[in-house]
Amino acid sequence: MAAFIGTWIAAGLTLMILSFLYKDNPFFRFAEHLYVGVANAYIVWLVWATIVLPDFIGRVFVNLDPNGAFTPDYWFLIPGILGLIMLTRMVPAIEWMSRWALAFVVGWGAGFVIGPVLNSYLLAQVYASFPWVNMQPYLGAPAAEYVPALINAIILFICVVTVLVYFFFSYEHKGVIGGTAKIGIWVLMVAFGASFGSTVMARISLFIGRARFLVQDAEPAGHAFSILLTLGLLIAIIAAVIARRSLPPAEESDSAE
Amino acid sequence: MVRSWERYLLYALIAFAVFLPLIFPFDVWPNLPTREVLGVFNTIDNLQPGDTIVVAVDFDPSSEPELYPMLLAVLRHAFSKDIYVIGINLFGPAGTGLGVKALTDVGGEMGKTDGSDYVMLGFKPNLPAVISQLNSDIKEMYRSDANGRPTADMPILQRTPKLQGNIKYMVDLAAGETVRPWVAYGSAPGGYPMGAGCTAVSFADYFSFYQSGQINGLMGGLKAAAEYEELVGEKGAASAGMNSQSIVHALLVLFIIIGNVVFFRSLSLKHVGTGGGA
Amino acid sequence: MTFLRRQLPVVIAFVLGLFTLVIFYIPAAPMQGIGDRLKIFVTIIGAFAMLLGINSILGQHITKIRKKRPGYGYSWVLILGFIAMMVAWIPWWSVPPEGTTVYYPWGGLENNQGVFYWMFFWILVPMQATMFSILAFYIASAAYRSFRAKTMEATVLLIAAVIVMLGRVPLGTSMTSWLPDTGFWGSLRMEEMTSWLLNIPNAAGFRGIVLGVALGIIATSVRIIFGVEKTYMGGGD
Repeated sequence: MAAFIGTWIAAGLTLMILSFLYKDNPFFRFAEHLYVGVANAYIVWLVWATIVLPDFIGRVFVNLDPNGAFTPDYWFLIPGILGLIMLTRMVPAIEWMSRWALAFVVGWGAGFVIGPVLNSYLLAQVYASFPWVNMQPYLGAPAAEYVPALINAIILFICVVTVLVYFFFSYEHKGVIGGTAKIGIWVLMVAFGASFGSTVMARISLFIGRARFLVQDAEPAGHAFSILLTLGLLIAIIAAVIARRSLPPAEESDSAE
Repeated sequence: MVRSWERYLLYALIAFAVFLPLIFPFDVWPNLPTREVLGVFNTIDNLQPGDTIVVAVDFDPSSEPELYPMLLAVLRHAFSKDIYVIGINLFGPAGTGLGVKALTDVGGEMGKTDGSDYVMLGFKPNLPAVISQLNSDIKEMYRSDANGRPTADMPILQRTPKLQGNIKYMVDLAAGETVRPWVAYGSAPGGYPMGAGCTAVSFADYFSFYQSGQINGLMGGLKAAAEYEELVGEKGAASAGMNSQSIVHALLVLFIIIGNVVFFRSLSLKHVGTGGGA
Repeated sequence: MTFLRRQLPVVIAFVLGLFTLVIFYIPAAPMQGIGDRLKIFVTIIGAFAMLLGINSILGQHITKIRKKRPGYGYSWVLILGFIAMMVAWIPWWSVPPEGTTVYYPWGGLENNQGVFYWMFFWILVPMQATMFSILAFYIASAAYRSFRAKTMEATVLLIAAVIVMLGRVPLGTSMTSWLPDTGFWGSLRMEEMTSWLLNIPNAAGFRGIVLGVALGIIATSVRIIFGVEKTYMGGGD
């Protein structure tokens, strides 16, 4: 029963948000504001019940574990107090105190990330660009495998070097450096094109997920409703094509392209 | 310039192309597994019963259509091989609920118990701190799981008190920028291999880490979720959507080609016009 | 007083930053123990920071209701939704012990019969999923309107996009499935072309970006530790 009502509410809210595609309307704004309110309450629950309560209060003040003995660990008063100091950001008069808590977290982060980033983002990535490293698994392999792998490894190395030359703006991009940078731009264009193609796929997948929910999960009305919606879309398409033929041609402003 | 009817025609065509294959499903184009997805699948397939893996539910409902089917397929695979799963969420608060639901549903289906066969650790902010601390001691960072139960006596965490040296594999289903931190603070210092699933938005981005071998598998988007479902043998939401995906992609390629043809034709017409006049 | 406002935060950042940087290279147990503690400390402080955003949103909308600005009805919807969700989880009295079958509707996500759980899965999840799905249409519109092969670089980008778009769907891979599996002609199969494109030029391009990001992270971290970078503290003083 609860799931039945829930499915109808979920389908209704989905359609309210999708109505934004036509234009901004009261249904969309209602759904949007409801979402923000509910999401914020969820975050309050999450922060209190799963982080502050067990990690801070459960360590210092109250014993939450019914089986274990309770040894208060007063070192944890430090993050508790700093956390409350962080909350002073809400009060403009004592806002400057929150800088201490921020400095604590940001300073810790700054020192902490240097080592792992050097290892994993920098060194490991540079190491994997060299052809002799990439050819290690292919040593002693037959020529049919070895030659394409070698060509790929060399192309990868050239591509990485040209991209890095492009990003090096301390020297003017003229002559040899300019030519190398130009190849780097082409490599980057391939990367961005692949990224665009992928992004298109992702966005469409998100809508496919919602459409699948409306068609398959929102039974029994979902199926019938979706057929009606699809017929409506078909009519809209035909109407748009007919309208195009009957309207006078609108101004072409290709100069804006 | 796009007139408003053109815009609505476009939207209607896309929506139509998505709804039609869902209402009338057909099975014509096979979904072949790719090397990148097989990287994750084969690693999990080669694990022994009793091994522990970590599945990071690093996404929230905004990426749910792509990554939730992937999560279900990975969990089914792991549970069918009697592998223990530690779930965790480090991306955004709302992902915890999705992880809880997935583990409860799939775990219940396959007869697994919360606390001894799987556990969902909740969301904690500050990614580098949490991942790094998990490598040395899980229970210090997570005194209770996402359901509020104390972790002190949980069998799965007695078996696996820390990630370093105790887990065999880690899969990060990431909607954002969590794969690289997991590699830098978790997988590399901890010495366990790692695979990633991601939305197609960041799929192209993570290839630099896949090529370097820092992650040994990369599942990108709905297609990878559908491939994994097919490999596991239980087709679900992802496979249902692949037909729509195919048709919409073909439609979009057509849109791009038509748009370019129209553009170049109008350019050449203008040239003819001005060239003739000059 | 200015020391507390201006210099003390910089000193805190310096001390902590240098300390964590140094213990990365010292595997001794006591140092690592302090390091572990610090990790839990910053996580707890970060949790408190998450509440700041909520305060700002609620404050904004309560002000809108009080001053009756246009659209304050929607602010009521927001506040009522917030209150409803909060009331749904606050335990009215103690939660029954585990294993009992008494039905109670309150509690957080741990109670999968509760109202909170219901609201999460039937209100929050569908809406958040749908908000991002509208982008599908905008990206299709953008692809038609603005994707023009005006320069050589733009053409390369377009071709790469089309190859990836076709290679990542079963329709595209079926288009070239008649080609043999291996050999030269095999490498012209759609999925092989996509895989090569993604693994070689695409990986190289994004590797360059990742290296740049890494250098940027290290540079910014050093600047924060030495107090050159102070923007994280916020404006004002």
